[in-house]
Amino acid sequence: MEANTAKFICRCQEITEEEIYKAIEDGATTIKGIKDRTEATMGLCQGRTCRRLIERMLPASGEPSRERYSCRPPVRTVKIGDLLKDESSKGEFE
Amino acid sequence: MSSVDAVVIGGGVIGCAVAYNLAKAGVSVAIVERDDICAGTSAACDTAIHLQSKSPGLHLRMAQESIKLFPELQKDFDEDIHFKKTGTMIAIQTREQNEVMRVFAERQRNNGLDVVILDRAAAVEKQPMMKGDLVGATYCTADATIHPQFLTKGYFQAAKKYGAKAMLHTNVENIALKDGHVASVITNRGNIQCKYVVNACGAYAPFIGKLTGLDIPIAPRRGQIVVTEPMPKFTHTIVNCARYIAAKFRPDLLGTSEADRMGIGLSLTQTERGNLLIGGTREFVGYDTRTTQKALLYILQHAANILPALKDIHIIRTFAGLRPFTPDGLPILGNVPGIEGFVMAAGHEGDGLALSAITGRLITEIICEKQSAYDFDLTKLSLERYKNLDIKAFEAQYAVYK
Amino acid sequence: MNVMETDIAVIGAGPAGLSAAIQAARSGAKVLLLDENKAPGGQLFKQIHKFFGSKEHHAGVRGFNIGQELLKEVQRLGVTVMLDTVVYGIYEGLALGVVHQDNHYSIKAKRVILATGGQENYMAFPGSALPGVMGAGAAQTMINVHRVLPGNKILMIGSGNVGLIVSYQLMQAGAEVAALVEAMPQIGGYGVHAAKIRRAGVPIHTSHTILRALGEKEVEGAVIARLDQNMRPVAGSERELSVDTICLAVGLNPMTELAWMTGCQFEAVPALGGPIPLHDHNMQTTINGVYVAGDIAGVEEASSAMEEGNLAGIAAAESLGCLRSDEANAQKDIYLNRLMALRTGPFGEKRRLAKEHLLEAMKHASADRVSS
Repeated sequence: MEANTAKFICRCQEITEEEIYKAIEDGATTIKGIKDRTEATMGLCQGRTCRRLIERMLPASGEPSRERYSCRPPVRTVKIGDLLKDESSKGEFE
Repeated sequence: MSSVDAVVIGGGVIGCAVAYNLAKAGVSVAIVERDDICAGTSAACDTAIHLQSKSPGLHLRMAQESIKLFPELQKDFDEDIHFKKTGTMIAIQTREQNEVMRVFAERQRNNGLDVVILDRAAAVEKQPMMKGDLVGATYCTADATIHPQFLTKGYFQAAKKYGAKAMLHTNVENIALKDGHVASVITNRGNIQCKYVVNACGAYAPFIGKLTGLDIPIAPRRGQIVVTEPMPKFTHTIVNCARYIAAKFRPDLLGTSEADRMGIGLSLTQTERGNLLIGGTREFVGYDTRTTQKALLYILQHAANILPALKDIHIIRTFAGLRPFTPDGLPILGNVPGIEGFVMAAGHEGDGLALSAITGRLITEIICEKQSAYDFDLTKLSLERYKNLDIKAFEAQYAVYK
Repeated sequence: MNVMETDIAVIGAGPAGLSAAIQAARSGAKVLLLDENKAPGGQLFKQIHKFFGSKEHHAGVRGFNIGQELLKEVQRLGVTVMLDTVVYGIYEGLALGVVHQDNHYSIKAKRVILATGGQENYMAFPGSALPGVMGAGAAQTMINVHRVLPGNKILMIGSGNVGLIVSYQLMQAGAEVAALVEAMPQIGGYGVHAAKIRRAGVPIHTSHTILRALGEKEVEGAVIARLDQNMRPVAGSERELSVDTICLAVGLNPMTELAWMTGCQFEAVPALGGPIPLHDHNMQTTINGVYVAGDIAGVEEASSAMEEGNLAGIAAAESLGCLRSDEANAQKDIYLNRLMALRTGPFGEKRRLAKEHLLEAMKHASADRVSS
């Protein structure tokens, strides 16, 4: 779909509102369920932008949502070279 | 009380594959999953389908038969499972590793797997990114990649298409037996009468086993993986290193450093969107799915040592999955002694994606009591093979309940 | 990888983080203040408007001047400030994964104060991925920090204080604001700000929403429509506006990723912007040694962020034995009272109730408080 007509919920991965609803139809009730079925929230921003929008689309299930966001490092993109730069880090392994 | 022929417990890639095959064969089946499909290991892995890492024999042959089934599955699925034959190169970093790999590759060739050993110059020519610390590499065209979540979703949706009932967010509380035979599965959402129960709970299979008094020697083995930003094609094959395979045959080659104890070994695949998945670790830390800073560092050090161009790429996430480890590295499949109708389909460690297709077939043959289309010696896969194993010692050795 | 240690690590050098660092350093604790930006101050440095309220709350002082005052104090007290620094993760034992000037650190902190702030909400509509659709905060940074106009003709979505103030500042910078659109039947922000917009002749359409952005490769216009009582667009009420920029001022949400990583408990509080880490009067979360202050503890304003920062800094220092509890309590009373004063009036009342709800939930959670 084109940027000028599509209603992208996840902008990084270009996942549309329609695709999210399809995943809900398939049984998804959580952000994780949407993510595994559509790849939404898996882009560069890791869901920082779209997570709230998806949350509002999820069916209000009878039970209270106990979903914990699976936030994993890094919270910002980090260059591999920067993580490895310091020479003292080379000690133990290679 | 609802009633089906078979209840498959577990909505990971194995459970969904079994349910798909059963439903397609006309068996009435329900998938019971305490969370959602792909909630555990099946969404916490890389995309590789490896033949090259398998020892010649039953393991390799099962993988070879399984990989043949994916193009056919794709035709039956609505979803694109991104199955691609990409091949693998395994980086060899020492002369000792080279010796092990030379023997290993020859045995694999004798078993119909096309593996060659390249010297350093030939390896770098084939894979220009691989110009780091290596003495050579293997090259095999048979390995493939697949989309783990979409494969699981593909099985799941196709299973539903053939009439399987999906009971997500449903917790199995007990399994009722009658005269030594499975009678029903008791869940928090009601009881399901059934003749068969398939335990497809991966690393969590021992908990289902306990409901019927079975000791199942499966231990969660944590694999940590690092994800990068999307890139143009980085390598044209999967890239692994020989550390883990070499250590299987020459345990003395494995050092004793912290990184060695964490089981650091390279596994690099690239998704359709271009993200590199860089693994990984092999750690026995119980059911702990956290990622660690040490692993991040060691994984990337080791990977960049083989593929120096990685240093200019950004990472966007780390994650960890629990591989269902068994003592002999083979899955536990089939009937169990003493409990009629209780069928195992778990313990695939890092081969769940690869073996899902054949596992679904084999379990369906067993439940339908059909003559097998394969000549595998299934006694080598039965739970029975562990009847003399001391489960307490196993749990302690592999820190299951750390 | 370099390994470092500190008593208190403060993440985020905005109003909350600066205040927390000052309080903690005054008590003699070794304090490290980390921020991903090249300059400290968070949102303060793009706030060229004067603050409201009392003298304690820097009334009449412009945001960037407050930032400079706090920064001077931080420097005078000898706080180690690491700018251009990404805290990419928090691992077991409060070990921070940090990249600073192309180098990698593991920083072990006895206490961590998360003052990471908030981020703008995004809104999806057909065309919302077109260039020319941006957050109002981003637009504010462009005009007040980088001195560039984001566009010439602007549609502002949202009439909270951010939407109102940024609209006015866009006009001051030379842009034309075509209209403000507000989904609710009434204007969200302060009347004084709205009056300024109205005096400039800009229409504020309440009970309206944006339906879609128009344009092939970038924004060339927008379609807005009236909303009925059920917040559904009224057929036939669509109106096309010719604009080249659409600014979204539809609220902020707390930046909580690092808090989730510590494993602390959350409670969804819509009035405060989303899921908020539970915290007590000391601003401590359900994880011992992990504190929150500012927008991460519930989206409010810079003034309340500073007071929460003061509280967190004092409490963290007290827990390390740097302050006697009677000294600490006397100081905390001052800042708690100031916070109460900020949370009065029709706008403050809602936040006060939401905060009280959080404190209440915290009481029930504290029984199973665990250490990371």
